[in-house]
Formats: sequence, C-alpha cells, structure tokens
Amino acid sequence: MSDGTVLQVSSLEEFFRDALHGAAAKQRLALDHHTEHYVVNVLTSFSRADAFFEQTPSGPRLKPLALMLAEAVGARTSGERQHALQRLGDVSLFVAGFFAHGFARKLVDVDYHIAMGGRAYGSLADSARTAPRGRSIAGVFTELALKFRELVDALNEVADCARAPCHDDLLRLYELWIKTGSQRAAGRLRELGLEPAASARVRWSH
Amino acid sequence: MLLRELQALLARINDAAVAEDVCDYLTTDRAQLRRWHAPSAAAATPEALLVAEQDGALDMSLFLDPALLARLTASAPLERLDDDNLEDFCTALEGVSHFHCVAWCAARGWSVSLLGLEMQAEIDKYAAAVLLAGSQRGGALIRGLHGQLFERVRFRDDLDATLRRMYVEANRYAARFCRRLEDRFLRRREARVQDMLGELRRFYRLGDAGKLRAIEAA
Repeated sequence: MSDGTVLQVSSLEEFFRDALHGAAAKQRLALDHHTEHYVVNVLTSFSRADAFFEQTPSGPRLKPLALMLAEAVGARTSGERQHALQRLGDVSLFVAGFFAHGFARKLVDVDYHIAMGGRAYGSLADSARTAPRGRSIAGVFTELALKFRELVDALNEVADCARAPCHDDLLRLYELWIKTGSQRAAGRLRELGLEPAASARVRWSH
Repeated sequence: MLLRELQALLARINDAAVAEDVCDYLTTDRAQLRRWHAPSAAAATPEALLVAEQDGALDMSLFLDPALLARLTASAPLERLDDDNLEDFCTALEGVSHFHCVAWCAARGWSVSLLGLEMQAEIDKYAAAVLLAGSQRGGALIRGLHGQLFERVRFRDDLDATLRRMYVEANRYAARFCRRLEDRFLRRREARVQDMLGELRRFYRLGDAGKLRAIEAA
C-alpha cells in the first residue's frame, strides 16, 4: 500500500506496463503480450480525462454503460458498432479496475461492469473472427472477454498500490468477493484473517 | 378507436401531447411489414414501429397485428383491465408508446435511442395499468403487476446477443424506476397519484442519459 509519497515515473505507459505485469504475475494471470499491450494502451489513454470522459453541455461526463450499448445496437455501420462496443468494453474495464471501491451499493456495481464489458469484448471477438483481417485482434478480444474478471482483479491491485487504505475496505472486499468471486478479494480477506465461505456467495445476474 | 384513447392516456400521464394521431399511422398489413422488417421478426411480431429519417423528415408507421386489435376491442381493457387482457393491452400500449415518444422527441429536435424507447414503453405500460386498474377495481390488479411486467418477461429467440442485452437493460432500468414509484407513491393507505404523475412527467423530459442517471442515482 502507498504511504502517501508521490511516485515519479518517466513514462506513464511504462509504469502501467510494469504495474500490470507485476499484478498479473501476483494474481497468476497469464496474458498474451498483445492483450497486455492493448490493456496498457487503454490505461494510458484513459489517464487523460479528455479521452475517458465525453464532453456534454453540463461538462465532462461518462455516459451510462447501457447507453453505450444502445449506441452499438443503433449503429449504422459495422465500424460504428465495433467502435461503440470497444468503448463499452474499455470503459467498463477501466472503471471496474480503478473505481471498484467507489460505487459500492449502487445499481451499477463492479459485477455489472464485468458483465457489460466482458460481453462487449465477446461480441467484438465474434465479429472480428469473421472479418478478413480481424483474426489477430479477435484473439485479444477473446482473451479480454474470457479473463475480464481476473483482469479487473489485477487492475484493482494496481489501483490499491496508489491508494491509502480506509476503514470500509474490509466490508467492500467482502462485498466484491460475494458479487464477483474475485480471487484477489478472497486472498486479501484471508490476509486480514477472514475465511470467505463458499456458501455465502450468491449468483447475481443483470 | 382504442388506440387513440391509449395515446390520449399516455399524453395525460406524461403531460406530453403531440399533434400526430396514432390511428393515421397504423398498418395491420403484415405483407407490408415484411418489406421493411427482418423476415424472421416480421413473421411473428405482434407490434413494430417502422421509422425512416430522410432529408430532415421522419416517416413512421405502427404495425399492430389485426387479431390482437380484434381481441382488444372485444375485451375492452379501458373498461375492465384484468389478467386475461393484460398482455394484449401491454403489447398495443408498447407500440403506441414508441410512436408517441418518437413524435414527442422529433417535435423538439431531441434524439431518442432504442434503449430509451423500450425503457419508456415499459414505464408507460406500468403507469397506465396502475392508473386504469386503480380507477376500475380499487387497484386489485396492482398487486403482482410489477412481477408480471418485469419478472416474467420473454424475449424473441431471433435477437442477437447485443440486442437482447439491450432489452434486458431497458427492462432492468424500468423495473427499478417502477419499483421506486410503487414504494414511494403506492404502498400507502392512500396512493399519492398526483405526486406519482409529477415524477413520471419530470422523468419523461430527462432524455435518455438523464433517465439512466436518475435511475442509477436513486
């Protein structure tokens, strides 16, 4: 955990690459290097507010995920549809990875982001597989769809390295584990002296 | 005609009148529907709103299955809404809601997504059924209505995964909004109908993103 000092890095991309690599290794998450490269690019890009938020008359805001899905459904071309699905997947991954502690007990919690993002990448993978030049990117989207929850775990690890602990964390960790089955949350609970019981988990669907 | 009365009911509930009369845009010809709609959907769907935008103008046509309209005319849901005619009532109301919402938004130059139309239609169905049943039989149908509309929902088999997900989301958001309406305004000894209408009218004017954010924040 951070002790409040500022970490100096020469390149944000390098920082995210190293941090993701370390977190993935800690979570025993194997990622193809193309997938790792894709995720690092998403993190680097979204570290700029103008890339992450959208400009609206009320200022920079994030569109609800359901509306991003509606944009994909209403797209006039396959390119527009894929762009909308990719943004949905990327935003879901970033928010679930870095703001998992922020939306506790809301209608759209981390499990919702995992479901929406995973399905968006899954749809992209299906479309890319049939496209003439889409096979390599199909592999990336397939891996992102299949390992979305584990990736969120790894990004939570990256985020927690830069975040001071707070008193709500234990409860939130338990809630995360209940909702998503996160192995990282289970591991952290054990480190804190709590044994998560399998019978306590509920299957949630959105 | 029943459809005109349904449109007037929605206009009253949402305080949102439009100049277009749904009956002028009605078609019951399935052969015509097949020219514009995916064949698999056109073969079975009881309701579809066809919309085409060209050169800044909007063309619309509402298809409703003639057998559905005949059943509704016979069962007169505006006089007695019950478990037997609820499904047909909701199907027709969904089409009228889509038509009305597109006309309302178009008149103001607002955009509306398929998600926004579906979510609003679910809410319109709930509000119309609650108000009709409440005035007809002391609210007997209201008990269990939320479950009937939102939990026992079925989707067409031919929907692709993304479209199906969008319908699920529209249902989920609308269910949350209507549950909140029920908790705030209907679960008391005396229902606060005017307050509920005020909430519905505010909501109708929020735009798609505003509606979703309002539900997420509640």
